[in-house]
Amino acid sequence: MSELQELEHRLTDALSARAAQVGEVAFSRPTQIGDEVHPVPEGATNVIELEPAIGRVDRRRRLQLVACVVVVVGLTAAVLARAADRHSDTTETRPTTSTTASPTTATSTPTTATPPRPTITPSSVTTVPAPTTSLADRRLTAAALVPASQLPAGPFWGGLWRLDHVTDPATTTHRPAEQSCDADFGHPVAPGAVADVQGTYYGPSTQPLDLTDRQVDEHLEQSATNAEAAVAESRWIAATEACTFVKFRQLPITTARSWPVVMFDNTAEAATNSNLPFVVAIGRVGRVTVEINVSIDAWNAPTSIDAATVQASMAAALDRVQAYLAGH
Amino acid sequence: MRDRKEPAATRGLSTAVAGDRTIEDVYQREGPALLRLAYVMVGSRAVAEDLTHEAFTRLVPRFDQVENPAAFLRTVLSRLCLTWLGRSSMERERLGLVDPPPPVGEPEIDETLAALDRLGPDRKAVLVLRFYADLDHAAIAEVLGCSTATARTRLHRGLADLREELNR
Repeated sequence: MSELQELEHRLTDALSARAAQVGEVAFSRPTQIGDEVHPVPEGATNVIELEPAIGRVDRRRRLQLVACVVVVVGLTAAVLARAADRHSDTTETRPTTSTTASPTTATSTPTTATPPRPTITPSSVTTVPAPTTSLADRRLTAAALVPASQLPAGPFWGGLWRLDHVTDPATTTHRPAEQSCDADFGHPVAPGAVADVQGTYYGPSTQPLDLTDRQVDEHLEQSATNAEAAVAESRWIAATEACTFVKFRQLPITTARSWPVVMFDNTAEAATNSNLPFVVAIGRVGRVTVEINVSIDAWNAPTSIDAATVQASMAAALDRVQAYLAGH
Repeated sequence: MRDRKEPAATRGLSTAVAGDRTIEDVYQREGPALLRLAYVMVGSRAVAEDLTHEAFTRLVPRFDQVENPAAFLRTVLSRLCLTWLGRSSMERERLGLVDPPPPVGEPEIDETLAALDRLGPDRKAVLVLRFYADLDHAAIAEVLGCSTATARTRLHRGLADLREELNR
């Protein structure tokens, strides 16, 4: 038996062993889908009957989402209250952090009032001079950009930033996913990498069955009916667009996807040699989360992208975020 | 439909046209195998269940139009797993949101699974689809939405990376 065959057998055995950990599973409706047993109404079809069960799953997710938001808001309020106490002996008034349509600088000055409640408008970016923990300061800012000197070693082959509507901590409401959107910007990369990425993640012709919503789900999220246009737009990777790299330094944010996200730097991921995009940063711009991904794959992109060029594109990318938000 | 052998993971699963069965039938029949496939990929029972049900929610609105619900579900689920792996790798590492899968108890198997889990999501997915789901290159390409050549290349590189991980 060759070494390769031996490895394949070993892998097959291992995967089978892991699958066996699941044990015997019975998928029966409705107890395995939902939490309650609902008798099938007379004359009801199975499709109709399954939907409320799925709805129960969604409600469970929503509850988790709301719980996460409550925790985040509670922690933020506590931190703000502590900050207010710390400066209660001063007479200066801390202005309420309000983001408006024009890019402004939010300054943190001592206050004697109750903790400021940030007013969030989805068309602004504030610059934060110093790291604090208030919600207003958790927004994606130019100050959060990674200097070129801190970028991980290339080569880089593209990146994207993603906009997801998130739960507004002030109102605990969130926009539906259909209203969220994506915008991708990438650098030109090696031809092989372009073909690989497009064929795998962006090629509409390679989508089997009726899975155009996958494009929407993974990349564009504009609308299921706009998938073709979205795919056309996503051919960014062969174009000469900007690519952004942003550094994280903020706290988890709950997104409409019901999974908590946190901002990261990507240096630890540089060695994993996967050609899937990695999360580089997730920050807030108004009501949306901006998620910046970047992939680093040495074998896939022999031509490194100049880090200085990347850094130069950061401000432009943020401008585009603002421009997009201003239009939505 | 491409002619290929029925994969092990879906052996016994439905290949019937949606018109002669209900979504409940599909759910009961395909659910366990899909759950195992998801678990092998993501290593978390809770996440696997979540993704499996997410795949079914994708099927429901288009059930009448899907010719082969089993293949549809497998494709959707594989991509959901791939997306989850890609997006959550750092969250899992930094936040510890998901516990690592429990060891099997056999050193060689655990070593192999640990090496597999260290691979990138796409490498891991292609190996799982090939050596657990027993899909051929064309079927893997169909699931992952890439060309057959790309699937073959990824499989080759996945095995090479796995061997490298095991030799560390």
